[in-house]
Amino acid sequence: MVFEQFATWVVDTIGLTGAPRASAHFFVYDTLKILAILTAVIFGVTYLRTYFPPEKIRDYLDGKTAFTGYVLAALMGIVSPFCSCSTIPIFLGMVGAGIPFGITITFLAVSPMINEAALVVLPGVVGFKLTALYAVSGITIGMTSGYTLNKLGFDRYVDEFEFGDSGVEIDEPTRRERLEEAYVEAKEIIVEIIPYVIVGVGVGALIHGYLPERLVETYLSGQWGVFGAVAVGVPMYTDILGVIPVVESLLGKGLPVGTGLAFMMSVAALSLPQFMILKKVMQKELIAAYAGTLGSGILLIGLLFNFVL
Amino acid sequence: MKITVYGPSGCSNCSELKETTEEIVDRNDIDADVTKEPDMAKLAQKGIMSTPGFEIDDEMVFAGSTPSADELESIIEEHL
Repeated sequence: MVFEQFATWVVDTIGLTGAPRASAHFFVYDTLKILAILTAVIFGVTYLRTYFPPEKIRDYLDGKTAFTGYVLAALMGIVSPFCSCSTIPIFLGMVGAGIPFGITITFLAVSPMINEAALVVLPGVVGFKLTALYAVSGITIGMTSGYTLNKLGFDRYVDEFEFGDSGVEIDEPTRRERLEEAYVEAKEIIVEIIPYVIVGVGVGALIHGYLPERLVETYLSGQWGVFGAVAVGVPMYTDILGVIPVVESLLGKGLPVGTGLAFMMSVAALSLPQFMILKKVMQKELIAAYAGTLGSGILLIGLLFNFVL
Repeated sequence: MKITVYGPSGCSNCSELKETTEEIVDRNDIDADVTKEPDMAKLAQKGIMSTPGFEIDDEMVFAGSTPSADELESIIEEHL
C-alpha cells in the first residue's frame, strides 16, 4: 500500500534502525492511514446523514415497539455526530418528545462507543473478527444498560426541562446544499479529531518500538488486566480513533483480545469530561448508575472474550 | 434586532456562526445585539436538536445547518 511504502521511504531516508525505526514507521503509516480513511468515511457519512436529521429519526422512533426502538437507537448512536456537545441536544430532544427513557440511554451510550469511522478503521488495524466483536458487544452493552436503567426507574433522575418546539421548517435540501453541509461538518469533525489521532498514534508508536513484550505478559495478560484496563480507561478522555492505535500496538505485544476490547470501550464510552457534560442534564445518581452499568458490561465482555478466545 | 446563536460549548461550528454573524453585522452597520447561548436547558426549551440554532428576535430562523457567509447575510437582511 502506498502509505506503507511512504513510511518505509521516510525511515530509510532518515536512516533509522531498530526500535526508533519501528516506532517512526508505525507513526507515519498509522497517521496517514487513519486520516485518509477518516476523511473519506466522515465526508460520506455526513452526506448521508443529511437525509436523516435527528428530528426525523425522533418522529420515526415515536410509537415503535420497544425492541425496534432499542435497535434503531443503537444504529442512530453509531451514525450520530462525534461530539457529545451534539449528542446531548439530540438526547434531550428525544426525552422531550416522550421517547422511552431506555431507548434514549441506548442512543447516548452507543454514540461515543461506536462510530462509522471506527468501524472502517478497525478492520485494517485489528482485523474483521475483533471489529465485529467490538460492534456487537458495544451495541449489546448500550441496549442492556438502557433497558436496565429504565426498569430500575432511573428516568426520575433526568433534570426537569421545559421542552419547546423550534418551529423551524426543515426544507428538503438540494444535492448541492447537502454536499456543502457535509463538507462543513466533516471539516469540523476532522479538525476536532486530528489531535487525538496524532497523540494516540504517538503513544502507539512508542509502545510498538519500546515496550518490552515481557512487561505486557507479566502485568497485563491475566484476568486482572481487564479490571485494570477498565479502571484506567473510564476516566480517560479521547476519541475512539485515538485509542485504536494504542490498542493495536498493545495487541501486537501480546495483550489479550478481551482486555484490549475492554480498554478501547471504556476509554471511548466513559470519561470525566463526559460526566461533566452529563451533569448539566441529569443528576449524579443517574450518572453513577449509567457509568456503573456500562462499566460492568464492558468488564463482563472483556472477561468473557479473554475466556472464550 | 436581537440575534441569538444556540450552541453548546465545544461545538466549533456554533462559535464560527456567531463570529461570522458579528462580522456581517459590523460590516453592514446593522443595529443588532449578537449573543451565543450555550445552555442545554435553553436549547431544549427552544426545541433545538441539531446545532447551531439561529434566532432573530423571537423567530428561530434555522437550526442544524451552517449557511455560507453570503447566505447568512441575506438571511439577516431579510429580517431587517
